Amino acid sequence: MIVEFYLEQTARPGSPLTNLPLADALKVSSFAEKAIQNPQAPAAIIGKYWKGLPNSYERLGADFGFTHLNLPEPSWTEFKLDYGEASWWPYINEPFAWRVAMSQKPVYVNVNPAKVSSGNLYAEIQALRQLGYTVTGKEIINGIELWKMVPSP
Amino acid sequence: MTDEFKKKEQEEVETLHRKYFWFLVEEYGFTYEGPGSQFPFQNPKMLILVGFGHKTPSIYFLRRGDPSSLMMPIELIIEFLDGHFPYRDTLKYELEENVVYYADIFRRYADRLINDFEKWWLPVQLAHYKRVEKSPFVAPGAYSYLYEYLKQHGMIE
Repeated sequence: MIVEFYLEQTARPGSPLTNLPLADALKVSSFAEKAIQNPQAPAAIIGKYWKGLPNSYERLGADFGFTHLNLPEPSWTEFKLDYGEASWWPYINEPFAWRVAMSQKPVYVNVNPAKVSSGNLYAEIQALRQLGYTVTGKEIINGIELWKMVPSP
Repeated sequence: MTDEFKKKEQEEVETLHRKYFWFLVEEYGFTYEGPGSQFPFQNPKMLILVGFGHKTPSIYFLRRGDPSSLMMPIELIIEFLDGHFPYRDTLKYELEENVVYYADIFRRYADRLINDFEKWWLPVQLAHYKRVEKSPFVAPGAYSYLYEYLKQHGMIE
């Protein structure tokens, strides 16, 4: 699985993994594989992380069994110490958004995507948008209001 | 997630609520619903979500009785009121530094955000609808619920 992420990402033009020594590129791939939860699920969820709240995206992702990004401790601290928090977006988060888009699966968001104006979530939504995703409306899943983004036909 | 970890998270959230947003309770009469509530600060007219991410706080407002899909972030409300929001690159700061920054902005605008709530709530929703309606990133009809809401409240013919 680690090799799969490494091969997939290093084949992408402009991937930052290609600039890393092989040992680091494999280590980053190992973090990515630990961070991508439920990769085979038919839908993904992204969104706001809200410490302790039941509608935080990673809790909804776990509850609904959707693909989502969540690097558990102690791996998150290890990643930060090894590569810095600023590396999260280029090494893990952007490749995650790309991988989700390539799978063409619907993406749910726990807040209205059109109201997100900064931060990693904004970058994630913009990445999906550039890869052809549009907001199609909201859906209620198990009583939770979520926004749905799908790839353009 | 263990119960112990959840408890620790909720304690951290309550500490930040009490340390930086308690003016809502002491000066504006909000009730505090606790750190596990989606909207921890509430009054008879409005609900306020104050949530904390890894780096950035989130502050959302919702009119009591309205669906949570209408909740509006402080950034867009202040953009509506003053034409801009003083965004900062939150990734360059620690969470608590960003909490202080956002709490300060909230406090400066609190009178308008809270006392003038009824004046801006529907116009902000209308401004948002006009923006998404034009967006190529939004499929036709995606925000029909917002159109219906605005029509129902006399904001759209």
